[in-house]
Amino acid sequence: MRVLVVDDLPSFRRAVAGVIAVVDGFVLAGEAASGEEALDFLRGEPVGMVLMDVNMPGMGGLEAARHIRCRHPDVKVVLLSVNNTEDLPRDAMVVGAHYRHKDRFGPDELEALWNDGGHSDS
Amino acid sequence: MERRGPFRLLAGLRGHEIIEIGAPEWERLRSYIQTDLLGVAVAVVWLTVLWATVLPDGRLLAIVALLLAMAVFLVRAVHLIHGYRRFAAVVVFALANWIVAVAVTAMVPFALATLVPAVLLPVLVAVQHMNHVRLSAMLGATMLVGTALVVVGSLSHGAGLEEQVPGTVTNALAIAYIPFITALVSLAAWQNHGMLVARTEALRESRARLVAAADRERCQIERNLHEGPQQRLAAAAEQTRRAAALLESDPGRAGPLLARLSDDLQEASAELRGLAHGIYPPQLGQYGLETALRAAAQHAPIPTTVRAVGIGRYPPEIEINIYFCLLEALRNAVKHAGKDATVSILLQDRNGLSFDFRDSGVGTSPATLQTGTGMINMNDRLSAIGGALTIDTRPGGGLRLHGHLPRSALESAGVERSRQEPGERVREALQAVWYAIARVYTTLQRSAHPHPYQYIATGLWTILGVALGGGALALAVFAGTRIPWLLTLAGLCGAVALPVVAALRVVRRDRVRHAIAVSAGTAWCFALALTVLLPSALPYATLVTVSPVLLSVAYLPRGRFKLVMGATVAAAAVITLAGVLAPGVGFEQAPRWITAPVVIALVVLGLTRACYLAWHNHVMLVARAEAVQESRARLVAAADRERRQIERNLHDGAQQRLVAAAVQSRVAQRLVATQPDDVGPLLAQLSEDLREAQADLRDLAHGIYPPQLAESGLEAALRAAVRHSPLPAQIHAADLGRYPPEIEINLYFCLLEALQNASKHAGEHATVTIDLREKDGLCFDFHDTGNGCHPGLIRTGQGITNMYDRLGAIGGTLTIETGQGAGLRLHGHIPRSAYEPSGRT
Repeated sequence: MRVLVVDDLPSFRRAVAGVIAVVDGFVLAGEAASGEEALDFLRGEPVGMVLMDVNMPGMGGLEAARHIRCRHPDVKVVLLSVNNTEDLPRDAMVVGAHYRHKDRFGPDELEALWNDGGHSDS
Repeated sequence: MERRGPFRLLAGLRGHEIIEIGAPEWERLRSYIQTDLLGVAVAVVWLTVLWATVLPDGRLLAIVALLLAMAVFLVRAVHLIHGYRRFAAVVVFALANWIVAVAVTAMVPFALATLVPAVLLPVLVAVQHMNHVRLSAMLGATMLVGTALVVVGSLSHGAGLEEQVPGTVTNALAIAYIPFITALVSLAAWQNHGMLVARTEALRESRARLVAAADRERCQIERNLHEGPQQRLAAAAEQTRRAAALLESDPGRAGPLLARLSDDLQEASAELRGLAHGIYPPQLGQYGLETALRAAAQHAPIPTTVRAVGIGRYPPEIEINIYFCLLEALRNAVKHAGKDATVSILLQDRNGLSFDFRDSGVGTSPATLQTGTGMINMNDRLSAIGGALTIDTRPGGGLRLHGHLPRSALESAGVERSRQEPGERVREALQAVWYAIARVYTTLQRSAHPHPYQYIATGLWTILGVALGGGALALAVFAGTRIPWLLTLAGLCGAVALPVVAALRVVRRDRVRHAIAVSAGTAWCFALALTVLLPSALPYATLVTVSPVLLSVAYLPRGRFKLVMGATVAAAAVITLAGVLAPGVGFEQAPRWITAPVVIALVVLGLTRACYLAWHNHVMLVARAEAVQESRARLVAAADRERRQIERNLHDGAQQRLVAAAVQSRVAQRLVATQPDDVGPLLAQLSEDLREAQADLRDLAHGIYPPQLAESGLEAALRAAVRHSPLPAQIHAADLGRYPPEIEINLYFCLLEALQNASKHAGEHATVTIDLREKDGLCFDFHDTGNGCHPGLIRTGQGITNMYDRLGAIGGTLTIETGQGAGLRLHGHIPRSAYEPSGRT
């Protein structure tokens, strides 16, 4: 599966790229530093999954996820946040994305997303 | 159990204590309304007795019914206060007074003298409860109602009760009520006076407390960073090095070590996040007040519900202060409300932003609350952004906090809201009326300068005009009619004019206090003489009697003010007696078309003067406190900006590096089993990330509160700061010891700011000298040899304002000396008294 990594901080993009590299079946499709860049990228390239930070300057993760779900309904969107899901705004649960905790993210989490289709939100 | 019917009404009237720390108290407003209610009750009893014994006339009962309607209005006003609607309460209070005054005067015109000061009373009470705009509308309304009252009183023939009621009854009514109303007016002036004196002092204290709290917090953040995440990061870096070493020697043990490392990093990241959250919750900046509060409610150990009505986004300083206010309240509730308590928070944006915090806990006595720092802290925070906090509690009855940020405060912070306030047009019209009157008045007295000379002079000129005019009129009539007492009257008028001229001279050259004393004496003698001669001018005389006490509000010390108050009530009693008992000179026998315009003109004049004094008192009240208030708001805003910046730095710096490191450690863990060769470079990258995170945290903590400051004092900390400065700087310190932390930290940041300023603006060849010494307190001289700057320009800069505020908050002063090309000199001085009482260590 081709994965797009979206985060405004290069250190985290690099770390997630490392995770994708060690898990079988996943390929890094590209990196983007903001919601706008991610949407641009999706227009030109086929992507199966978007791993995206919730909190970014400019268009935040929630807004970008809403657009992606709308324009590319078959792309799986996984939002990564340092907050627990209950600390997100009330409308965060209806954008149709999966949530993962940034701290706990690693190869195991990515495999779990692959295996169970990502239904169990952390 | 909820009380019902009349019991509830009575309980509501007696009320429980409403506390408003450091702000105009609601209690006072309520006690006015209650006193007014008492006056109405006495009048009702009086009239009923009159009706039952002497005069069984239905019209008396009509007046009683009117008074009872007024009582209902007043009870409503008390309930509005309990609902925290102070402005509405003042309006209802005023409307009740005004409507009844006009109606009663229409029926019994002889009550005019009693009711003219009653019309003035609401606006005097309102002085400390309203902003400029509302007060000016209220003054406009007072002028209109006062004019209507005197027109009705002079022209109406009444309902014919005068002939039937015995003279002694009407006289007794006037003798009792005029001094009573005068006493109420004096009391209102006394409280305005108290506010004028106390507010600046209270603001200064509040500013000092806020700065001290922010500094304590800095210190705490630095310590937390040092003891928590910094230590954990050091340990994690050590573990990474050991894992890298084991990879070479014993790859089997590296796997479990890496697993532990990733757990540790996860914990460190969570800890850092918790810390950043406590400094400034990220949800607040991202999603606003409502989401941030909901998140806080979710984590609270007692059941907490949050409801928000019409809440949008607000400037950060408003959101952060309201958030921390409610967080403090929540913490308080967790600590003190008891384990079965529940909390409900209601946020509302209607005519300003308000919150209602209620817990169902054990409550407490108001005295305990007032001594606690929590409530004072909340009030400081809220009032720094222009709001007010009201606390309402009873033992066993839970706690209710009501915070309100008026729309004017929101608007001045740049929040645009559509206006929905009812009666907007009416308010604007009333305001226009007042501005027109005030303009005419200031034109007449030729100056809007706040010094009382002009007010006193205008008053004296008016008296002189009335005396000379009356004398001339008497002479003219004497010339036609040859009635001998008219000549005496003219002579008396001349006699009044002479001391007035003398008083004008005294006022011109003497001090304010003497001027006020002269003016008060003249005003009262004038009022007395006028009433003796023309009893129908009693309504005007009552207004003249109260004007000295209104004038004194802004200028006399407490003790003298009491003297003026007492004298005012005594003068009112004497003047009323004179008005009631003196036969007069027969002016009343003149045709009504002569008497009515004279009385109307006099009362409108007196009313204008009294209203202008009330307005002036309000202007002074605001102006005196303004500078400190603005400085306090700036300090709070600066501290909040700093909080946000620290949180931002933590989030973008160390925290992200930690999260990335945790993810990398998991990747390394996976690779140990599958591709052990790739683990080495990954661990190198990981340890680089951790090193950078450590450096980030160290720099951040140093910027928040330099550790040298607490350990070795001001001089050492400044020397360390100077080492990082791009400009060559020298520090000379003589006889410097250790000072209380709030002095050291404020002085440190003040000089740091100056140093940063110099490196930004002084030019690259400048050098800096800092002299610190102890001489009549703690002094510093900061000098740079740079480009200098225009003095006007430097005052507008944020850096200098910040230094000025910081020093002001600890009781010090700052002097700036600069010119184009002349470098910059700053001299700061903190008097010994600012730090001696807390003990030099």
